[in-house]
Amino acid sequence: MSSKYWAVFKISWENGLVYRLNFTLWRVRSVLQLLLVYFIWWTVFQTQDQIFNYTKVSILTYVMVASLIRAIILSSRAVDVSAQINDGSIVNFLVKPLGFIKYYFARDLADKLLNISFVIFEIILLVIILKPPLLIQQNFEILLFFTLATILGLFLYFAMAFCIGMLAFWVENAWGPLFLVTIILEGFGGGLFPIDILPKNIYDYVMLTPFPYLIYFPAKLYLGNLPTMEIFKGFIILISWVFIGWYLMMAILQQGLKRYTAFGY
Amino acid sequence: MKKYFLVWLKFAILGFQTQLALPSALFIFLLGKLLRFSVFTFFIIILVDKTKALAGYNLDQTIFFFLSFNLIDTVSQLLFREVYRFRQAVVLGNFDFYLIKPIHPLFRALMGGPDLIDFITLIPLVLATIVFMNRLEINNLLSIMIYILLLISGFIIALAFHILVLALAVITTEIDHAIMMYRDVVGMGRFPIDIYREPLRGFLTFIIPVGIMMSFPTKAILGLLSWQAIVYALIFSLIMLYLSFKVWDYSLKQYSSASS
Repeated sequence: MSSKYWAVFKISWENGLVYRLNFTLWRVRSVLQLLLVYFIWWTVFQTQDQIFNYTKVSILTYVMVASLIRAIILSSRAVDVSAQINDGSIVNFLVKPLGFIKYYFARDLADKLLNISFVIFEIILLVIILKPPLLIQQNFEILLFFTLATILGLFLYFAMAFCIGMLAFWVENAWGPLFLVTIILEGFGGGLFPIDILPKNIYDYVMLTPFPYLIYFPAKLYLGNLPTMEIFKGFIILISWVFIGWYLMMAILQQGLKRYTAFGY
Repeated sequence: MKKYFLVWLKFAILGFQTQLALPSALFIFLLGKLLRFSVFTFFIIILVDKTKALAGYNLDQTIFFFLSFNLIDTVSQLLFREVYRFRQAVVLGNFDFYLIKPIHPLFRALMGGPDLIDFITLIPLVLATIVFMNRLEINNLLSIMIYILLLISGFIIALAFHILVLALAVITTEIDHAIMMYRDVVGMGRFPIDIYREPLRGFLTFIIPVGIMMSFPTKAILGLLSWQAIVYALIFSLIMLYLSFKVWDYSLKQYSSASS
């Protein structure tokens, strides 16, 4: 990372620490979302030993790991892009030797690091309080796949959020599409439930979209019970979406800037 | 009262016209809300269909909890959408204009921007609630009246929460997430409060009264709530509303105009 983007990274990190109350409330929100999902599944396993091929240990591990993945992948500043286009402050990037995408990516990394440091603390606290039976994955190969899928998911979500934000070049309000994607992610990303509890035909279709690769796929990899063929297929689709996402992001930025007209006083 | 109703009607018409000016955005938000509702309903169906019960409630009962939650949540979003924009008014100094107008500033801050999208979603929601009432064979008029009374009580608590968020925005302008945090806390009432383990369940019933707001109406209509609990819920909601008014008054005393 060149020095100017390192400076952006540091400023974003410090910025996050300045608005502490705001950030703390954001984290409290994440914990509340985690508690809702945790207790739904905890209640289900009060009367069952196994359901949808999940045991109490595997589903509660899934919930906790999904929460960690959310903090890594879904914490992104790329959602601010539309506001910068709408209020005209994007011109700052056009007159400065700063890459628009690189700038946001550096901000993203700082935001993710801040979120990760908090989510680890939160999960440890919840594990101490709730004492859920958890699977501690020790297989190095599985952990490697998990890490790789998470990193690829991070790139994919960044590209997705950035593309949606850049819709502001064409439409007055890009919040609508972003809201819609957030909702789709809630259902088909795997945050509320693992996708493989869906009927097989729906599951097959959903797995062709980018959404399950943002939470479900890495979390499922961590559990270590995905067949090799599924892992292989999953990575092929994930990598394809990352390439498509980044290609689209570059293309949309180029087209958007051509179309953009700055005005003001 | 009539004056306030006419002013609110004006706010509503202007708000609806603004939303109708961007039909594509209106469509996307509406689609998003319907999708979220469908995803949760679908999840409840596949989960409870497999487990036969969730915290002792069958599929129809669990869906009824979810519908009651949505009724209170949608009505409060429909009426109090302006709260989401209030912080900006404080930061930019526009709140000063609320204070000098011959309309109560709390009324303006709470109800100045009704949401058309929530109005559209409210109609099928009410119909679905009636359908599930029939499926659960609830036809006792007294039970239905108590259910409506407890929905109103839940709505009063939602009102009190929104006033507290407004007061918080006046006192400290830093908080962006307060209203969203309220949404997340209340969102824990999508499912019966019985799914939570103690002490969280007690906390969600008596400290942050999500249980009273969201679970009590359904429990009452299913005949699972004592009359003492019903009276408690009604008194609690009124006390909470009274306290929220007091906090609002306090926040106004702390207010000093912002911006240029």
